[in-house]
Amino acid sequence: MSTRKTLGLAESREALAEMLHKADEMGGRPIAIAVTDDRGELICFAAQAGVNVALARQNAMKKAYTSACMRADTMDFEERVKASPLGLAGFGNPNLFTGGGGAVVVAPDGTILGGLGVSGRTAKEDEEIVQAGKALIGRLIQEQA
Amino acid sequence: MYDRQVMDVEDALRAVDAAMEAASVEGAGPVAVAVVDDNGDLVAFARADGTPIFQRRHAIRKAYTASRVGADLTAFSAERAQRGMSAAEFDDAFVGAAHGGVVVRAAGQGAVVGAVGVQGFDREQDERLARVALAALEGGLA
Repeated sequence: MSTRKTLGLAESREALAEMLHKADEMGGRPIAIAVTDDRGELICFAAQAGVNVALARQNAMKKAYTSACMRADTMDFEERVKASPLGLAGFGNPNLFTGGGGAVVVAPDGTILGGLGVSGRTAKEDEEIVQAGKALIGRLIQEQA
Repeated sequence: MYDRQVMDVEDALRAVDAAMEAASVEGAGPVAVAVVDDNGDLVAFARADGTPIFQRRHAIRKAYTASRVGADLTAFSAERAQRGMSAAEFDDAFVGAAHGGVVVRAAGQGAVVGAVGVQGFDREQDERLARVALAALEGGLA
């Protein structure tokens, strides 16, 4: 048997708080935020009151899942999908998302730890919020390494 | 028009944090805690390190059920048993948990604002932790 570095609740919860704070600072529509482990399984989650019921919750989770499982921020994954002749449908997975708002969490040694997802505003705003979370969780992981 | 009480994310996160903290102090082992709104939609969630994956779905299902039926799950399941009702009668495949979920009402016995669901390894511990979360919520609801 072997061991694998895994994202914990402590750093995930701090990243969640950081993203909520960033969203408040920027001001705008309510958002949903998801933090998942390397399998794309939810670790912690928050949805602000009045968030879009049809889109934001699902998309926050899809973005975090996609970042973790495809090992890339969803903006970069979008470029990969564009370059593929089969497109997103070629992956055969309805839970994948392309566009802004998803970020992969990577340990200093390159281990994929998890994903962050933000949804509720424009792709550009979602991206700005998720990158604030990625920067913080990166620092927290660095301290633990 | 009328005013509806809304589950705010700050309150829901405080409730989740309180239950996770209590679980950690108790040495409860890995648990998952979910808070949903009056529609059963997820507002806040956390699971402790090492929590089996199935507990995520169970915690959310418990909160969803309590919110949709507007009752604590122990009371809901007792009433169902007494009336000889199956959970299938609610025509909602996601309804059907029996414990570890409590409904959140506005100021006493008012309208349903949401619910809390806890999934660990022990029924009584789930109940207790759900009530810790509820107490943290009631401190902040208008």
